[in-house]
Amino acid sequence: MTFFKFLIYRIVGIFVTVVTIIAFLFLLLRSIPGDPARLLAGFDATPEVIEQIRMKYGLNKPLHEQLITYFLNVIRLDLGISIRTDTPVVSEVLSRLPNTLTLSFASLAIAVTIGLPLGAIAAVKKDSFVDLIATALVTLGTAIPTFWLGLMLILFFSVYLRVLPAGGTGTPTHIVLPAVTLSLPVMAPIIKTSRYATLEILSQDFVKLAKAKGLSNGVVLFKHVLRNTLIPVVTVVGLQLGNLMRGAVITETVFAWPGVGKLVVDAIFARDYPMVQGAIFILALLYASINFLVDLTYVVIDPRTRVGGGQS
Amino acid sequence: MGLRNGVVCDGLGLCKFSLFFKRVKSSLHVSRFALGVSKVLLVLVVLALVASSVLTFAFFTLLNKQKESTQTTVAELSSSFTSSSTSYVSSQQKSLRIGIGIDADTLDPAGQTTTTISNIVRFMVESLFIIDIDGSVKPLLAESYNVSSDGKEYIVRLRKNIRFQDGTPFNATAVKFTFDRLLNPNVKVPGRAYYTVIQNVETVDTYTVKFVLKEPYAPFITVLAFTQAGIVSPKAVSELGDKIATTPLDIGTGPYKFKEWVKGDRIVLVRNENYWNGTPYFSELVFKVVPDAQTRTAMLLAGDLDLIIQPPATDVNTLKQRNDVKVFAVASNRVMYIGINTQWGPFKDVRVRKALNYAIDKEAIVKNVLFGLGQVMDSVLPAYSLGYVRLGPYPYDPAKAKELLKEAGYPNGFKVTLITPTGRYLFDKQVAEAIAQYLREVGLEVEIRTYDWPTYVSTVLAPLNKTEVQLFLLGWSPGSPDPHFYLYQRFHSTQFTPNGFNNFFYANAEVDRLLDEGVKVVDINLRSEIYRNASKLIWDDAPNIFLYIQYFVIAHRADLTDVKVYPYEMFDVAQARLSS
Repeated sequence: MTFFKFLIYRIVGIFVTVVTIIAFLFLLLRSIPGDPARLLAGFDATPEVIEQIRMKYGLNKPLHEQLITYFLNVIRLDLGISIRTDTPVVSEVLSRLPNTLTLSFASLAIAVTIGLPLGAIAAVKKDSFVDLIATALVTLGTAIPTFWLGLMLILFFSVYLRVLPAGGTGTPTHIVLPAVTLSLPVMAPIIKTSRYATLEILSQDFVKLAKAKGLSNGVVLFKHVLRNTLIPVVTVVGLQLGNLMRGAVITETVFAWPGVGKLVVDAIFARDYPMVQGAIFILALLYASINFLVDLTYVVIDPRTRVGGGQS
Repeated sequence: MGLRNGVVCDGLGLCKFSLFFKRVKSSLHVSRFALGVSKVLLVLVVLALVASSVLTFAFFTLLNKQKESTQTTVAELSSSFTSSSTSYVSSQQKSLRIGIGIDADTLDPAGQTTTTISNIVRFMVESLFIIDIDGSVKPLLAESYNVSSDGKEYIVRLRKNIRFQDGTPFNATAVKFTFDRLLNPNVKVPGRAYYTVIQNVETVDTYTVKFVLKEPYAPFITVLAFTQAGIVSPKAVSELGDKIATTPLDIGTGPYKFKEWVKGDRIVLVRNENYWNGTPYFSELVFKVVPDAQTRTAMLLAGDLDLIIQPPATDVNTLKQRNDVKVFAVASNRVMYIGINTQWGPFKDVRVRKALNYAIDKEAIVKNVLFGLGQVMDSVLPAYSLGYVRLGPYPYDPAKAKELLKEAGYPNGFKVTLITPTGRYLFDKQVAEAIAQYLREVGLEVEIRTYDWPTYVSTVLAPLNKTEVQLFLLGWSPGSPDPHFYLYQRFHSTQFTPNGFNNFFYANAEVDRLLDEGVKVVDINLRSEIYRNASKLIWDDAPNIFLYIQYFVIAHRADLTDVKVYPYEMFDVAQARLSS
């Protein structure tokens, strides 16, 4: 059961990662200056009011006690109550999560459907017009700040043309601008990897051999080249998920998209410890699981990575 | 584990994918090439399907939306026809979409801490009194009040024939219930300190309430005007329980009722058809959470919003020039200053503190850094506060500043650190940089440090023996125009941080005496004199670099009229309408 072992290793890995993240985050949050009670009660609050708030959220207890309580609660899937809003963290995060997932998924879909073929075509037709466009997209995608791109798209499509809403949610049209904005920085590395990988494989002996065998260009490309390109591309796509979550914070702010990214940032500025911890816990769990799935797709795409060794 | 068709299988089914292809291959006699291609294609097809479905969905809804918008136009037209024939403007089904910068933390009136959210709650819940545009306190749900000569008993007579949105009558019992709730330690009330002076609340008769205070508290009536003290229906509140924070249905007497709160996205209020003070024009108020100021402006220009608060200051002049937008910029209650730690090295000398005031060209900062969105402070108190007296401003006079520094024994200046938050106030960091430059010109060596807001708050609230603060930029904006709230916490010597907010560690026995007296005296003229005297003393001791009053800006579509903007960074659209 080698594969089974692999699975177990990975699941234990996820568990260890997430626990480390929680503990690290817990200590990190409390080591940065800022007092949630004071931020909640305001400048003019009296020390008694501040003390009341600290007591209510257990902030007056010693740190290790707080950490242990937190872990015990997390095991019972109780992520606590938000200090800022006084509502359960789980329901706050879960009510926003679908928005972030929709946005990330739509961006990823755009990035992959355009980026993957574009990179491959750019490699095959190196130095052509398509290659030029691909390279330009890579440069722009890496260089353009997301918030600027977002604002420009708003100005053009919402203020000038008035065809798409500038921000908020409601109809699915609301997702178009944020998804496009978020997709560009993600698309750039996908194009780059796809182009680079294709180029590299095109220069390899087995491709030359395939061509020498008399196979048509199309056959060589689809059978020998593209399949080999997929591995690095899938890796990059997996890594981009982290990028997406980071980009989502800015995109969600610019487009008034009510997602988890914005929630976390607000929570950090309010030093809303339970909210930050809860949201990051859920995101970390999600990220680790997605990477796990990415690993599994390798197995599907490339028999060589199958643990236990595929033989043919 | 078994070896089938040349593939190692582990029973978990993953290899079935490959097995499936092998079977397809063997049954169809296709080549390995085709098999590879089909796998690649499969992945691509799935991705393409997802993308295309998203796009198609978006496209169709776009079509639908356009259809809808034509329909709304027709509906608007027809409704305006009916309205002109029946002359009931308020029967129109129109919603007003308002762009705000932050989402609510709680909608419970008692839990309010921010101006923006209090502003929303104020449409649902009204207080006994309201602070008007000029800073005067006007009765709202109250009719009139008397205060006893010792300043410890307030008798408030209430307006009659008002009903809460839930149908129950507004009366003395409801008022007592509201204040008992504010003082109940089990209810989360961050602003409770304002009300702990209350000994008890008595209902004299159905429409008369008596507040008995523990000690005389002259600003009491202005505290009754706060949103936290909004009168709530005992029935609605008891039925809601904890849900008052998220779904405050029918709790108040206000012009709008709660409808829904989609977290992070919007808060929707609907018109209270039985509102006692004239039915509002708009059937719905939609508060859209749009955190980015640039986006708020874009949404206003795109017609996605009708009114926005605080557009980016850099855009204000451009917005003013457009004829489809109206901009309101009013002097707010927010007093901006550089706090000086009066117990730190050179700053112990009043001549040095005065020198700092002379060294800075406040007019130039307001004009060039703030784009005119401020008004230079000419006193310790803003003009709309009781006890305001014009004392300055300190003129821009670098020569005099240098002379004072020389007199104090610092002809070559000294090294100082100026700290500032960034993004909290209009151009805070830029203002701090300008100030640093002015100070450098009179010979000081200035280092600027910026912090994020939570760190900043902790830094400036450190007690005297731990503080590292020398100069810091801050804004002070009490919800009440009463001078007590501008002066006591910042300048009384018992209020050194962390007890209060005197982080200048400023102590002047005479100022202490005046501030102690000011909170007790009932007579308005006497109070006014007390605060005038206190202002003069503080101004001369210069524990601050007095800067400017920050403006509060809102912008709305040009055909919207009768929007009321209050100096305490709030607005009212209950009487607003669209001009035809």
